[in-house]
Amino acid sequence: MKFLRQSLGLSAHFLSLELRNKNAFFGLLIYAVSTVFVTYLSTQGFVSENIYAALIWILLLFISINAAGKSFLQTNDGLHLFYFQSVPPNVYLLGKHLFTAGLVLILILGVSGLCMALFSPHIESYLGYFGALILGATGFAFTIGFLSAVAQTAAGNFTMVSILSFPVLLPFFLTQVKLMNLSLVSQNINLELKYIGILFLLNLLVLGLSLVLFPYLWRD
Amino acid sequence: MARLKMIGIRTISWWKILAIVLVLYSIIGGFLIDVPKLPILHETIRNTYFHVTLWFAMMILMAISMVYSIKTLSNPLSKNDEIAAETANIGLFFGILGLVTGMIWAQFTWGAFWVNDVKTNGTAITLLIYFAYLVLRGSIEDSEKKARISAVYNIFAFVMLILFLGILPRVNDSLHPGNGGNPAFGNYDMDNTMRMVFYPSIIGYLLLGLWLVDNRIRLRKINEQLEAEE
Repeated sequence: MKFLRQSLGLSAHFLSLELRNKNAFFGLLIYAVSTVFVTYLSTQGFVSENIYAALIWILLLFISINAAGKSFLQTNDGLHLFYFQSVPPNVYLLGKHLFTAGLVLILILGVSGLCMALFSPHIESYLGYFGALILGATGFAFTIGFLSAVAQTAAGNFTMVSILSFPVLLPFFLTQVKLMNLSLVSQNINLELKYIGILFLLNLLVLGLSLVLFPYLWRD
Repeated sequence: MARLKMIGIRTISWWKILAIVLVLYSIIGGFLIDVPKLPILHETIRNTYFHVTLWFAMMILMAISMVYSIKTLSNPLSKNDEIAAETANIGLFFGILGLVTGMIWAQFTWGAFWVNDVKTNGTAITLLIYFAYLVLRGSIEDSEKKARISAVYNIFAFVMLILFLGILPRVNDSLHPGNGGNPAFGNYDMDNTMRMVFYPSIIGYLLLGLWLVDNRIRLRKINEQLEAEE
């Protein structure tokens, strides 16, 4: 319990840091809106269901990488040393994870709202649609956040984050596209629950793996 | 033995000889021994001895690489890290060979070099993950740090890869045998004469891979010594 409380406190701290510097968040927002709008203009808003599911997840993938990829890269060496001395590694990671997941979730819900307004897809099952969005957001945030910690200790540049995370994100990506596609064409609750279960387990696995492995990245 | 050493010929370990014998056996036996006559597959079924075995060997090499990555984390000796890196290297090489043989096979049975199949795409992802691993290794100068960080990525990526290769083909249908209602070789198509070539062939390619790993590690040592002398 103390572990969770500390992590929550830390993520509140990250939130206040983010609020102090709103430029970064608005930059992300403009990036997200303009990519969606460019996609809308280039397709004229007419896309079939399966193209819509693929398109929205490609957009969300790039937007999440931009949002979550910075989560560890922003911390400079002095600040890193400060956190190193004040909290245990897992608390720090969980705090980061909670904050990043919140950030990515807000962005993804916002972007998908915009997409729904622009492309007006015909959604058959809201459970599958929003299940894919929410579990996808947390999964993306955990994976990219952890790999940005790897990239930060390695080279400290942003290209490395995308090189490392694209192939690893694919199990998430394909399941989400499949689930969203399903929610657009039919109301098959059983199959949707199966995919939601898979996504949930993937989330748990990534969270567990990153908590186990992070102390080894933390050392220097 | 002593005389051989005196004239500069090192004795070869038994497992290296076994590797040569088994790989030769799988090539000669693979092309000459009778195979079941099946529709669509016809003689291409002989590719089982190369494509499938290379993939088995690759997955075993990648698993060895991950085990040595775990060892690296608990004890960051440079030797564990070297083994992890080189098994991944050779595994990648086998993966490329497996992909190429698989593509040729696909052309003659499914009609195209690349079909949108879960396992085919899984191969591409595997290769991408391990290329990313090599890029990550290349970007770090300090060897202790390199060992630690690349081990973390290797473990993380391997678990995700196993998930991808193991779970998703069961969620989506695949053209490969054993998935989506297609009969697996092991159940229907492979008769006992095929098994007589297939299993030794896996061991042969695995041993060949380990031999290559051994040589690459020796090459590293020589290069390190040369650099130290300069």
